[in-house]
Amino acid sequence: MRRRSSSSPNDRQGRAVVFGVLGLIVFSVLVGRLFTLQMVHGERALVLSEKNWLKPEPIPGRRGRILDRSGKILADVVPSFSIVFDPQHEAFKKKSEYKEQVLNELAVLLNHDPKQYEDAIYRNRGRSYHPIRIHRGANEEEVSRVEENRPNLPGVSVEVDSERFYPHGSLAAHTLGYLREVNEKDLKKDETGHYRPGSKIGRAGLERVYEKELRGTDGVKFIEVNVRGRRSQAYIEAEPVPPEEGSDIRLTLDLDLQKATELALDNAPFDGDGQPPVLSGAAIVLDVRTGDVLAVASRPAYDPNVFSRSMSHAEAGYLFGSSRPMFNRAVQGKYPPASTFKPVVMYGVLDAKLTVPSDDYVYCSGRHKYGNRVFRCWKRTGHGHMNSFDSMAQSCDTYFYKAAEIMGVTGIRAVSERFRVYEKTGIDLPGEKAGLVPTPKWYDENYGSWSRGVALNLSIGQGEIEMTPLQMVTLTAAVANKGKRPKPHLLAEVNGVQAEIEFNEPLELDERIMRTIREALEFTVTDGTAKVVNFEEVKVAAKTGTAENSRGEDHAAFVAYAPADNPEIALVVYLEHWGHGGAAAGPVGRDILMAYFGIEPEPDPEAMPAPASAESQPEVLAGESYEE
Amino acid sequence: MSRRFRQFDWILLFSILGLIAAGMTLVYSASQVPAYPWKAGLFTRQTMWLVIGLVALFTAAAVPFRFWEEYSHLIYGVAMVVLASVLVIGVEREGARRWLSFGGFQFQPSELAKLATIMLVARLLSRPRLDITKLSALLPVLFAALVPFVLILLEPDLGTSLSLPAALVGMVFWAGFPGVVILIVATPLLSTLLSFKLWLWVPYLVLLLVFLRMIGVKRLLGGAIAVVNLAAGFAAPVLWGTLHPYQQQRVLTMLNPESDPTNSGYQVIQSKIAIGSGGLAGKGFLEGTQKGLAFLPEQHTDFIFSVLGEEFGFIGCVLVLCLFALLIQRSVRLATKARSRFGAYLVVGIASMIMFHVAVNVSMTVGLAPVTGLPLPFLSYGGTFLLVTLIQSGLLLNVAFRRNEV
Repeated sequence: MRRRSSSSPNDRQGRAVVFGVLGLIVFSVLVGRLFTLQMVHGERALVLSEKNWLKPEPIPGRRGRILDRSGKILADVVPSFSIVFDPQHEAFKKKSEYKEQVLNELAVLLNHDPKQYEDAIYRNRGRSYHPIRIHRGANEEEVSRVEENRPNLPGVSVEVDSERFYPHGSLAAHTLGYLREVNEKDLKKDETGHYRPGSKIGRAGLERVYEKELRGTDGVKFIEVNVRGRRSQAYIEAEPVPPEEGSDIRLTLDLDLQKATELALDNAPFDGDGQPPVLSGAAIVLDVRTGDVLAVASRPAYDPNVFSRSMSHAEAGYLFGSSRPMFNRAVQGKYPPASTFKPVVMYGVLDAKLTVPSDDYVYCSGRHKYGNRVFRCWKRTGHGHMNSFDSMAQSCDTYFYKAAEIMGVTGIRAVSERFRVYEKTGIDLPGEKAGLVPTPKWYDENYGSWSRGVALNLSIGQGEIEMTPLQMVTLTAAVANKGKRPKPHLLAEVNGVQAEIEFNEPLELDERIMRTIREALEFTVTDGTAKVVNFEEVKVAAKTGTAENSRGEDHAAFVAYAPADNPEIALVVYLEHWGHGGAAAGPVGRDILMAYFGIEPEPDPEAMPAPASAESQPEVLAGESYEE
Repeated sequence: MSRRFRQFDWILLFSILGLIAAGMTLVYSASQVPAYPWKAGLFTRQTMWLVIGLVALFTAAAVPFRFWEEYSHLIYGVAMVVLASVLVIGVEREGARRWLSFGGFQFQPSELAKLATIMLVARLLSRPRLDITKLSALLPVLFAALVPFVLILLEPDLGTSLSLPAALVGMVFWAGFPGVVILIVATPLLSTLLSFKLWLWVPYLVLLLVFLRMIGVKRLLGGAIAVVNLAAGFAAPVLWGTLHPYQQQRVLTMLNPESDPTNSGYQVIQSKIAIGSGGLAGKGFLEGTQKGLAFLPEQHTDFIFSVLGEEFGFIGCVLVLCLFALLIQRSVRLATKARSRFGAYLVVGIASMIMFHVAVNVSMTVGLAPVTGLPLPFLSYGGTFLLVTLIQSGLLLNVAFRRNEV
């Protein structure tokens, strides 16, 4: 082989020629190929491109199911029928008025408003060849009526889809959430290609939070269609891409306890004058050891299955009406915790050694003067001499007013910070709200001038203080759990993979004081305002609360944990405008505890712990405050 | 100064500008798809990258190439560190780590790494009295290219990594390495690929023997080459056959994740129909129907040529190919004229790489080559790729502007 040197101009020229020849070969091959494709077979390709399309037909990937902690189905996937309409059917090619005629006929047949069809067709504009689902969730009768009249209804057909189905209806509706069709914003955002017009997406609750896990991946099959969108003979063999199923998710919810909780809520005795309002509120049961949410319910509720079918006007009116049934009060409702907040204040009192239970008594006359205002204890005649322990059990407000005088807004805020009562718990539900324990700065910003007397209201969990029911139950669990605050969560397992149990950072609390508080809460059950849960079978610790408000009956609150010695569960019941905590919310808590511990109701009325009738006298009237 | 302008290669500049214009036109068209609403933002993003790219082009052209030569070591080093970091902190998409993400920006370091490698190799080759046929001269060059090649393969990104050897072969050939040897080294590889089709392999072997006789290789050496080819050709299908189908699929997807997911040539069929339906003059700008209806999600990137074919027809395709041919021809001409050896090697490397990209990408869209995920310079959507293409163009113009400088 000849030795070449790289710089001689001749060699450069020679190599340039090699490059040129190589380039020319590539260029000629490509141009030749293009000539064959475009000039020789161009006509055929044009026919193929205009008359025949390989239409990718999605094969839906089945959505995962949602299961309770033992694997019982909470959200299922079932076949469902849709009436579909093809606006480009060949029958409408010549006469487009005929299309309206067919739609009107169909509307009469199914007793629908033809407007809703037009809406569906409008929503699907731009999808040139897909038949449009104009009526989802058709029942058997509707399907058979359409099938019988098929010859008169060109372009109309019936398709089988898989559809989300919630077998227990409104049970845990707020937690499970619901699906809706994707909108244009979703489609714009989506670069994963998971969604097409008409795809369903989790819009609320766990369906939304675990959308990624639950959703399947659509497969594709290829159908050759001609210009009219009808199937034609296959020209190209294209193998389908199989769909992928979404993952099942297992929750911490216990279906039986959930049912019992919802039943107990619905049976809540109204403790007030006149007609009861719409039952609004929430109940939550938490495993204090793990943070597993065993049951969670919000009222009023709704049936998420309405989102799977075409919704009626009445259903839509209810859903978006003034009772706000889709609002998840368990995590989004912010309420004054009333006396259920007193353990926190009591901790502040004992921690600062403001009073010592054994020797420092406060005298409750039923009235407490602060400046020119008189704050009343719920017990108008007064409790007499009270120490912190008794004042908890009897829910004596005067004692707390005294404490608040010393602690002030700053002191109450400081002890709330130690318990982190107003922080979001981080539960895996959308839209969780934070609570509020005001600081002096907050009052400056919102009220301008304010009296130090606001602290007195705060001390009994009223005034500006706000917590969600979830925060109340988490606080209760932290008290039960020696300051170890569980992180409430609903997910137990995705596709057999256990979800991690997390704890929020532990509250650094004085265990000696906490023991006193827990004893006071037990004493509340045996000798105080929460006798409604005084069982022989299991020792319960509880606190009732009644929040006064200007817009109607009092809000009723109830928190508890049990067994008192070795706590397993904590619960909260909160009912808007439903009366006194012990009388209205207490019985709900009682029913839930009985369901959890399998306690049979005693037939003997004597042994029945605090029947509802006995409760109706104002035994627990927490924290009224009057201005004079 | 005025002499510089008189000697400046305006045709080269014209071809570059023409290709940029064609690219933006096609990306705009490909972004207008009612069935894929998310594509609407693609054009805006590409325009943003074009602005950045033009700034980079002027920078690459304005700074004398002596500077690039001087700092090619450093640039190469930084590029390799960034490239390696992708494997660790890169964003994973469909099983491959190829992108770094800063805020909303996604950046593909492999493209820049290839350019840095070309710079370093150009510098290594332009050392005085270098004899490339000597192993001591060839090994550093090979090593410099091997590092990024392996790193890109690990991502994995076969398509992107393949254009690096193409550039290297071009440069080494320019440095005086005998073309015949390059061919012979490549024969076993070719044999492996062709052995899967007997009707291709047998004529190939015959041609190889004729070729070896023609160039007068010694009998012993020629025999050895033939035996190696034969062995490679026999072994490949046999070894391949012992793998389970799912293993084969896994190897194929690993080597080439862009390969047709349906395994049925669907994308290529659609691309061929789109191009063919354009006929002589095309359906007109924005009038293409296949992009909206067909299942061609990659049309704005790797299959952009099919938009060209459908909307601008045979005439449009040939015009764009002519622009590419012009770009290559002017670059090779520049390489012969440039007084700086570094400049010449740089130009040859860049031109070889662009030529490889064009050949493989267009062959893929017209069904002549397998789907490899190699984008088309100037035309395909993709920020980093456009940026690097424009930097490369800037470097070509740089050498063109200073072709009398050493």
